[in-house]
Amino acid sequence: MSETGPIVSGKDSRFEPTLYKYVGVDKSWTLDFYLSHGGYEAIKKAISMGQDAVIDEVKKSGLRGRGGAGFPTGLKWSFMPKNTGKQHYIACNADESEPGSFKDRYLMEDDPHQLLEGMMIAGLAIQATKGSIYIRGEYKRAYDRLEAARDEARARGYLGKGLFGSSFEFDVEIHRGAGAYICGEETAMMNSLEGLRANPRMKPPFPAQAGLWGKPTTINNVESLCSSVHIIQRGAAWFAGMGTEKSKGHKLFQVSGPFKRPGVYELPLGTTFRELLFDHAGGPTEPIQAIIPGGSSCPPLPWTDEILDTPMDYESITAKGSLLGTGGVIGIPTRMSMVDAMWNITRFYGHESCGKCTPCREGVSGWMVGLFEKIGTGQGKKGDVELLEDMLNQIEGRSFCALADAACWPVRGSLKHFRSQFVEAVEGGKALERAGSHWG
Amino acid sequence: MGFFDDKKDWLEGVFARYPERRAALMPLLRRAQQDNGWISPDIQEEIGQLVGTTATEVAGVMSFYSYYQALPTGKYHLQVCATLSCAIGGADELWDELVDELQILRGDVSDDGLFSIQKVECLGSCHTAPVVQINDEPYVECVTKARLHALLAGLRAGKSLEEIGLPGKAGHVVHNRGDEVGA
Amino acid sequence: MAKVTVNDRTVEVPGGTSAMDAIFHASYDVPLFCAEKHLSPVGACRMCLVKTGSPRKDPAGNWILGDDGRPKVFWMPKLAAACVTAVTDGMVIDTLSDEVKHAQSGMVELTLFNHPLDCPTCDKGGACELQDRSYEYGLVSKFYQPDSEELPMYTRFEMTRRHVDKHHQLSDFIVLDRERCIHCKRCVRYFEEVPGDEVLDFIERGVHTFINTEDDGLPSNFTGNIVDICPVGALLDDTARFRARNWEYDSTETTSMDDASGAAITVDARSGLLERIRGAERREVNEVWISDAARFGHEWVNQNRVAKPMVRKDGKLVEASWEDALSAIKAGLASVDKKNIGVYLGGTATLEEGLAALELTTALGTPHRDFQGRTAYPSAVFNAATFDELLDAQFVLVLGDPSEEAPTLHLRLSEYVRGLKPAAKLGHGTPFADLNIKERMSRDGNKLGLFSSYPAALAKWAGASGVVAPGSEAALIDALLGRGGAPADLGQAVAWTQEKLKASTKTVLLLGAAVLNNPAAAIKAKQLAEKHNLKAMCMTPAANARGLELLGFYPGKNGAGWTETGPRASYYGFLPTEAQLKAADFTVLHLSHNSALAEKYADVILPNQTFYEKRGQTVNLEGRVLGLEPAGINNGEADGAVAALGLMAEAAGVKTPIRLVRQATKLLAERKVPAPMSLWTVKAAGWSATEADGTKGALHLRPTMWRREQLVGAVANVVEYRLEVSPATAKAQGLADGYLVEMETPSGTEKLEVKVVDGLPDGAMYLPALGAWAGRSLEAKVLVGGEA
Ligand SMILES: Cc1cc2nc3c(=O)[nH]c(=O)nc-3n(C[C@H](O)[C@H](O)[C@H](O)COP(=O)(O)O)c2cc1C
Ligand code: SF4
Ligand code: FES
Repeated sequence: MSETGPIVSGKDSRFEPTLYKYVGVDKSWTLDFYLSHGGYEAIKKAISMGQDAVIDEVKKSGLRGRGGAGFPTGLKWSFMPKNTGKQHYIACNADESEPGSFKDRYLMEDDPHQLLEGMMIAGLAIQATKGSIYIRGEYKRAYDRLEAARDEARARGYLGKGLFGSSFEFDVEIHRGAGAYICGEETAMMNSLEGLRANPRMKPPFPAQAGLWGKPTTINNVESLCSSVHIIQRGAAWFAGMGTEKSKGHKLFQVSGPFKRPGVYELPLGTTFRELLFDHAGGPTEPIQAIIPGGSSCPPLPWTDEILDTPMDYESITAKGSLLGTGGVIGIPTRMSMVDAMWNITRFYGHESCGKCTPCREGVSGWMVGLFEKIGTGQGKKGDVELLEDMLNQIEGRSFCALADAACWPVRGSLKHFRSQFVEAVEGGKALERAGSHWG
Repeated sequence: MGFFDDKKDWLEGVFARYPERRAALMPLLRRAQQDNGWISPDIQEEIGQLVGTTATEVAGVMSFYSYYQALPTGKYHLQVCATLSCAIGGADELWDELVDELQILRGDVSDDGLFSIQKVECLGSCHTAPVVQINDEPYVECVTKARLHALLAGLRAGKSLEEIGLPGKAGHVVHNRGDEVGA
Repeated sequence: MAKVTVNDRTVEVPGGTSAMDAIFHASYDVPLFCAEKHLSPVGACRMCLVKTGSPRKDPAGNWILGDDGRPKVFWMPKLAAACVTAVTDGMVIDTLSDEVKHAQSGMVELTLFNHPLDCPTCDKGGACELQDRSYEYGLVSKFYQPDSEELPMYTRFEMTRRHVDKHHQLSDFIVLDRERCIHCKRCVRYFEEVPGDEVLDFIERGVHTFINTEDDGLPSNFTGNIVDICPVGALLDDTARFRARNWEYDSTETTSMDDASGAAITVDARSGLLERIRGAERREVNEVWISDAARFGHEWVNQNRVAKPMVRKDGKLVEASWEDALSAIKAGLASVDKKNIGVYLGGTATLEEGLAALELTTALGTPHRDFQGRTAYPSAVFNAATFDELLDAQFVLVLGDPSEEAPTLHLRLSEYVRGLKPAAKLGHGTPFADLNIKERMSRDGNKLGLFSSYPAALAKWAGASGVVAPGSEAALIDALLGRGGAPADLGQAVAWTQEKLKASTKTVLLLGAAVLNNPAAAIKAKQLAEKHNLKAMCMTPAANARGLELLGFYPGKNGAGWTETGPRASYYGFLPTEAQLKAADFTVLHLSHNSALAEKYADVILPNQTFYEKRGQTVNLEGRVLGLEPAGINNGEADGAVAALGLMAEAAGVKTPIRLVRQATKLLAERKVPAPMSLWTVKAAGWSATEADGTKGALHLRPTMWRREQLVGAVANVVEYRLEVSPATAKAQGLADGYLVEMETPSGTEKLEVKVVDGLPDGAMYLPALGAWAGRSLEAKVLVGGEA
């Protein structure tokens, strides 16, 4: 294990978890606890650095959005207009609804002040005095802890006007969702915040020009914002010292499915699937046929040595024909037909389609779900696989937002690696076997 | 008398959070849902007036989100995650067990008025599959058959979630240290 | 301007134009479902996907060249929805490649997957955008038919389609077939953006999404337009349900005389019956929208018509020929002095009819002439503003209720408060995807002040508004002129309005019938207009009031007006009051519909046309000359006023230059009346009206878009014809909700149900839907009170 050069393994002795360092520690969510280990120092430093230096630092660090799209965070901040005289907003995307993802949840449950500080730093960088956290409605504990933290911060002068003896002003509102995956899409999220049906908005105008209530807005994921705290505190070089050439820093990876220790693991980008799934998650508890590398929208990859030894960074995974996404790895056991797995995921996207555009409403929510029902219940007929592929060609890249694409990618990936299972299911004329028959 | 008539201060607090009243629509819907277990047409109309829009717009928003209920629910509304990781963990079987045990389907309320059930999509707790959420409470995780029955028994006995001790593996790993946390 | 190349043609369009309109401008086609004129483009149906690209410049600022030495086109990786893509200079658009065709055919297939194939029983059949698009852009065999023997298919999915409510009554006028809806969202956007009544929305999400209302019966004066814009047969006009296939209709484009705004309508008739009315495009006036009164208020036209002349023989009215009628009128007028003959036209009389009447009364030398619905104070003495000027105004002051008095104004004011300007005019006309229009635009109340004698819908967009009791309009305007205190609790609103009037250099004044019928107020309104040099739009009860006034057709010296008695013999182009009928010795009634009063008093009845059956010209409240075309309606021997007045002339033994509409039209042109669509910018001298000419009384006939005669069929269920009073007034009069009272109204003694309405000024009683009488007050005589 090389202890020189960039850190690309959680086992590298130089690597130290930061984002999740205090997760699981009692009372970690209180202000006193946060202050006891240098909380709210980064924002002070940021204030002394000033807006431009902060943006530069984050740019240098190479941090890319952890919400799934992987857009460079510093660059995004630099898109915000300066001194418009208008209210600017920093909106935190805490909707975490992509199946297989649950990393933001514990950041908010056990380290809410870290997120508040991250929002302050972003606020400073984009001249936003108001922050809005859009948290998925089901995250009750996270919401309670966040709100308590926010109130505590307000009460003790860590939120409000003239912060830290400077002219810096910042406050945060928390908005609870109500069960709609699409609200994770940034423009739909803004509609939801404004009390409308959460249909995605047209771009342009981009949020930086006209976002929340028509004002300049930047949307960032929880993890992205939390990372910025440590980037400011320890410097871009420290962050860039981890990960690969184009994928810098560390990330929260999630493991679900039949493994000994499913959970969240904070590791450098570039760590291999094998290290995550065996060394950290303890290996599978039953035969696995495929993994979904980064949340349900990423094409599944076969359970092979080649894949297991692939470093988990944006480029390497893309090269294998999938995506890093949110870093939520789902293992699909051999006992579950890939057709069943895709039926489940397709049903999810069909259920979450907002219904605005034709390819997604009729194609994903209607047609694809219907076709899987047909095949899954043993009523498939010859040609259905080809028809499914043809549907993908008609839907992918043609919808209003990326939800329909997200529904197509995993199916396309499965067809690539597990086509035979589909053909069997169609021509076998039998209903699929239940996956969870072991439940008890 | 309107549902919000005696909640004026609370209302003002909510309105103050947003630059426009319309944005208070979802918080108001949530309040009604939490207090009543569903949102009656009258309350929808009332909310419309409070945030300055029509009953139609309220229905449009309300029906978009799966948390708001247009029909009365039981004292305990059990929301069972049905998405992939939970399905792998046995969500479908869990659901069937619930249906057998309670003899109700989506939209029904058990005769004792205690239970109603709903399949929901990924709750963001895939590593503790299968997962159930009751009303607006923190999740019940790693729901095995034994835990499910203990849960129902406890609720029937009128215990709160904290009071109910669920058997078997409860904790789960959420960080590199590898030790377990959680309910 | 931006240079855009569409396939092989290069065109210039204003920057910011949508790719879709650039394509149409270049006279290529692109399929669409959700885009619609005057609505915000949303890119939802994905039908208009095209390939776009543009040349790029290198850092040095020179075009990057391709192998052919011409600027290299960098194509976008994904197809773009043309309706929401703004063109840029040098953009290249491809609508013909296989990639584009494949996407478009795919989208048709997806759209059809849940759409029922019940075209044979669908009222939209033959006029359905989905039928047309499927035919033109549906599955292309090239992509889908390995086996060339196979018939062309439209969708390859053989699963049962979505089954939902197929007959959902949205209102008494509109029925919704949810299975047919293709979710283009036009109707939902329409309600929010155009009338601003959010009474229709999407419910649920994903494939379960459907449209519905929770606001009973779609409370809005403008619901019918969604039927016109629905691309499929999901939203249908229930008053015309199953009347004919679209190609069987005999369609006529003409002008609505339901109000003075001059909206364009298409009248659909079949085998002599008026079956349906649709909005027609008239960019300058109603764009494409019309009110529900103009659309649904037509069932009366086919009923109870006077088809032949009738003359009174020994006390009884009997059918007769026009010749018999002529001799009967001759006999009737024989003993009457010509100066004592009255000529009274209907309020929907054309310029041609006005001129004919003017010529006749001049020949007779009688001062007794008028038209029904003429207001006590002249409207044509105000400088008229056009709708374009309205959108361009800095401030608009409304004294009345546009939503009811001239509904088109409600819709144009909706554009005004959203800050929209008149739509661009491209090669193909109005843009289909105007990127200046957005969803949920904020409405700026700072540009609008409104005062009315009855609570008005548009108050919701006004920065300041108030209700003034009928009769106190004069006091209000005095206050606006700074000459007196404001009426009760209007102080703030008045002060705010004064500020706006001072600050604005471009103000438009909208005057309603309540002011125009109250000279005390109207005189001051004129002074206000002069003080701030305002242009005005007068919402007169008579559709052609401005035109007839400009011709000079109103009572001469000591002449009796249309509501008065006086002349011994009279010609009426409408049904006068019983008092008037009693007073005259000889009356010729020229009516389209039978009535008991006419039976009782008329000496001669001549069959008249409704305005749907007329050829001629009218003038709207902008001063714009507009044409009328006769629809194919079977009205027996009915003829217009020109013919009837010709008969009168002959009977009275006078010569006039007009016997035929054609002659009148020619004469009008000679007298410099401009051609249809252009503005007749002259101002009338008008008559001198004094406060005394105002009407007084506790019963105010409030303007509504509905007229009495329209209250049959579906309309009768919808329109509440009640006596409306405030709770306090009800108490004072010993009335309560549901009480039945008997009252003297212009249409005789009527039984009316009492409706107590909060927020009405105390003291006043209101009665709606009296058309020509709107804005007048009468002595309220509650004859019999009592429990319901
Ligand atoms: C359908 C859809 C769902 C999404 N869901 C989420 C989500 O749950 N959480 C999230 O942070 N980003 C989500 N995103 C990405 C956001 O749109 C946005 O890119 C991201 O929040 C930006 O933050 P980042 O740059 O810090 O990653 C989603 C995107 C799409 C198209
Ligand atoms: S009813 Fe017609 S207009 Fe309305 S959404 Fe459906 S298809 Fe579009
Ligand atoms: S799949 Fe059930 S919580 Fe994610």
